[in-house]
Amino acid sequence: MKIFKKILIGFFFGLIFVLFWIGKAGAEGYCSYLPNPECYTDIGPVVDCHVLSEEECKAHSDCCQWVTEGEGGGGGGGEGCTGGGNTIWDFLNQICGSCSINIICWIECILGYIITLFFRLPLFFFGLLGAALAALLILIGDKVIVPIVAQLMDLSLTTLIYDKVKDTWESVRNFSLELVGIFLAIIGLATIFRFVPYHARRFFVSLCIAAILVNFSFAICKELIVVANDFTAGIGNYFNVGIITAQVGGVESGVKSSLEGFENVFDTLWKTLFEQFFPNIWKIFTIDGSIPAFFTTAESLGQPKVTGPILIIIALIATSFWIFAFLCLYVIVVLAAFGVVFLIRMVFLAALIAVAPIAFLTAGFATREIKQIFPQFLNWDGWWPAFLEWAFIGVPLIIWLGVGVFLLKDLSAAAPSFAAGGCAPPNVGAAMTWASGLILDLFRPFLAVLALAVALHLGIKSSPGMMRQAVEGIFGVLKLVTGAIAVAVTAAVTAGVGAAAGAAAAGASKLGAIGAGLKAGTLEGGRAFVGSLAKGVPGELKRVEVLKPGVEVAEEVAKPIMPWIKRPFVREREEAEKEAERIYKEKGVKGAEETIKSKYVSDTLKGELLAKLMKEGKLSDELIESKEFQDFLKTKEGSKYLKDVLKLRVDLAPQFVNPETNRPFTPKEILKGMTPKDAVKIRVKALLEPEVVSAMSPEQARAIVRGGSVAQKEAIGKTYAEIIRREANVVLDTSTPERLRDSVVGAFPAIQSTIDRLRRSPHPEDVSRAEMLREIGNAILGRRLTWH
Amino acid sequence: MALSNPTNQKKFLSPEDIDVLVEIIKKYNLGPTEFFDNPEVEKMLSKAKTPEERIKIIKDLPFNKIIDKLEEILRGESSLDDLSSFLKKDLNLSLFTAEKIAKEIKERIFSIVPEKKEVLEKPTEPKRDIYREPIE
Repeated sequence: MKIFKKILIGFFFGLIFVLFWIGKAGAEGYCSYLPNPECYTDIGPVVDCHVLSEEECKAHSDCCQWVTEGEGGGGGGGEGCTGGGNTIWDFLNQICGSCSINIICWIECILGYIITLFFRLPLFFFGLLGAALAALLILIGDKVIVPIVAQLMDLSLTTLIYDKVKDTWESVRNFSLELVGIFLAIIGLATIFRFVPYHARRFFVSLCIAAILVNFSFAICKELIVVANDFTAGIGNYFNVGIITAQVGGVESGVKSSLEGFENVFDTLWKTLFEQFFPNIWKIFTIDGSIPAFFTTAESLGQPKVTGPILIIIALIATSFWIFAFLCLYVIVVLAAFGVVFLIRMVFLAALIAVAPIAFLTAGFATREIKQIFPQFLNWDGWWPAFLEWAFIGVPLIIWLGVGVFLLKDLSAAAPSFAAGGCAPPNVGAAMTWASGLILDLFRPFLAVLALAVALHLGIKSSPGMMRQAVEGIFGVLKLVTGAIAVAVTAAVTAGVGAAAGAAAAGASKLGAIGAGLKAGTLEGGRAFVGSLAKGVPGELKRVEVLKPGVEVAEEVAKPIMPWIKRPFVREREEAEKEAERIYKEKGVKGAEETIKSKYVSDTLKGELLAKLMKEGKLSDELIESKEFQDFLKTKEGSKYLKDVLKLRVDLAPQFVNPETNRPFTPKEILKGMTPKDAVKIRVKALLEPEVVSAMSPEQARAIVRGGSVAQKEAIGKTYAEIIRREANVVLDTSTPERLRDSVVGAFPAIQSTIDRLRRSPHPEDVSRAEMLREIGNAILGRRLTWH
Repeated sequence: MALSNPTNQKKFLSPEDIDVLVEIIKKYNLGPTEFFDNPEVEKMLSKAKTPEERIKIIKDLPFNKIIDKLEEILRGESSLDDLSSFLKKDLNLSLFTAEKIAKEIKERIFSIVPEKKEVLEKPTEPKRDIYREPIE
């Protein structure tokens, strides 16, 4: 009984609200369409009457008609007008206008309408709540997020902060200069003992230059940051984002940001919400009154004629406010991430400046061992790309910010709402249905906001690795919000008044549970919801005949460039396989290699292309040695192919980390799983490395001696000589196979004693090496290893 | 891969040819074919005082001598028909052994199948039967 009372009270207030609205709505007139065939072309009306002011409307009197108070609904322009009625008669005409003079029909229709209020009211409040949330988010964005982000950018785009790390830098520099002494001693000893890898000829000059540059590393880094800041400022001014004022002549302050431009973004969002979007909410009450049309596809009784189920349409309207709020949240979160990127930039650059002396020093003494002792950011190879990336990160971010603001402004201006004038164009043949007009009306404002958010999102995605994880986090939150909306709307549509109230609560509770983790059901609901939106909206747009020529032209224009655009997004395995086949067939090995090296190709596609090249035996050493390819091998997708590639180039094994041991791979680890058949495929460059041949099993060495190419055999012979030089201190002549044979015979006792010595070693790898030396030695003397 | 005939373009023996040769040398006990970890070779080389002497000892091994001869044949500098006399003379083998080894090398390395002697069935004149001859 209590629930019944509550429902009755709610219904009573709802009725009062409707009556209040009827009295209030449509205080002004609107410009409507006249059914003059000359005013319509195949692609739509000649004049967009609904966006015209009173004067402009009257100036186009042949096609448009200004409808003032008391003229709406039943007038000549009535068909297609959905929200412009401003008297009780207009309102009744919209919900039951088709009843004409049939009194029974009128009574049934009005009673039916009253019953449908049980559904309309909660959905109205549900939509209202979404609108309020959107408004709140816009205010938060405008008054809180923008100033914070502006401050963060200010802080990041000045150079004052870097002076604070000078003390740390000095300590690191002193340490580096002490290292110079140690390095010189190592080089000296290596030169005395003729240890070629550390010989003075290789490193003395470069180490001296590096030692000098170490002292200037602070100034060099700071100047680079100033250049990057000025560049960022220049681009900001060029894009007229209104955020940056270069401090010309400023001693240390660099540039100053204010993000004034972004405040305008939230103004635009505010206007979009209340001027274009919010008027749609009244449609919840003004769409038809008949019960059959409310729940089924029966024809409606109101004017204009609407195809049901009306419940779905008004649920869509109510939901649209939540989607708008969700997009506002998206913009805010992405903007906040934007600010965080600048904050991290500052911290990162400070840390990189502090360790710059070590990085500069390693540039002058770049040996494999030094790279392992000073890895990643302490090493020039890791430090320099990271420094450049972070110093200039502002450039792509500002470009995307500028593009985003432009998109928002342009698309907002280009998205006239039918609701603004309260009137849609009348049906011109099958060009546009009322429903498709409404959907366009609802979703066009989204395009502008979405374009802005996506532009910012892309900007952040282009930032170095750490920020990508933050963006993934943003996606997690957005998925949750989407799921919450889906749960609420589904319940609202299916269960009426009580369920709708509960659904709103469910939605709210879900939103409150962000930190509690995602429930599988909610996620699935969210995915299904987003999926159906993704499928449904483009489908609905395609049904609108007026858009077809544009869509077709766009498709034609896009056709030649589509493969390029598509490549970063080819993530489905099957699709990637087909694309890889196509590229290989059309562009050959070179084309496939270039595609693998490209930054703008998805890892899945790169993987498939690599698999294709390996299958065809066309994977070149040039590609394997390229930085881009090696970077790809370090990705999740690339790591699937890492071992197969290293089987070809065992010499590169130490450059990659073994995920099982968390240490660089050793040649032994790669060779361990290789069959003699695989061993024959090892590249010549790998066979020239003594570490590789030393780690081979006798079977693998035998396989190459018997089945290898001339170049492989020569490489094995030369590397064998190098190993003997190291192990037995004997120099072998490798100029011809005959001379090698003779010199092995000449050094026979030394080699035999080395083999015996290694066999006695407690280390299994020494014993294995002894067997390899015996195997290859016998192949040389047995005249099987020749390279004629 | 065994050679199809001695006149082809190949001038050196393949590892597979050498495997076959090693088998033949072992079969006829002609000397060492493995070098490292072979006490016999170590003993032979221990007598040598200089690298040059070691090189000479190894070069004089039947294994190397035969390979050198076979490669000469491949290069066309010598005839395959001389192989048995070479084996007899340079390796101090009996004629019978030398011919046997030469035959096996020809068959297994040079893939020469000995030509089958054609049996000519000449119509033989019937023997005279002096008893049935008409008395002249």
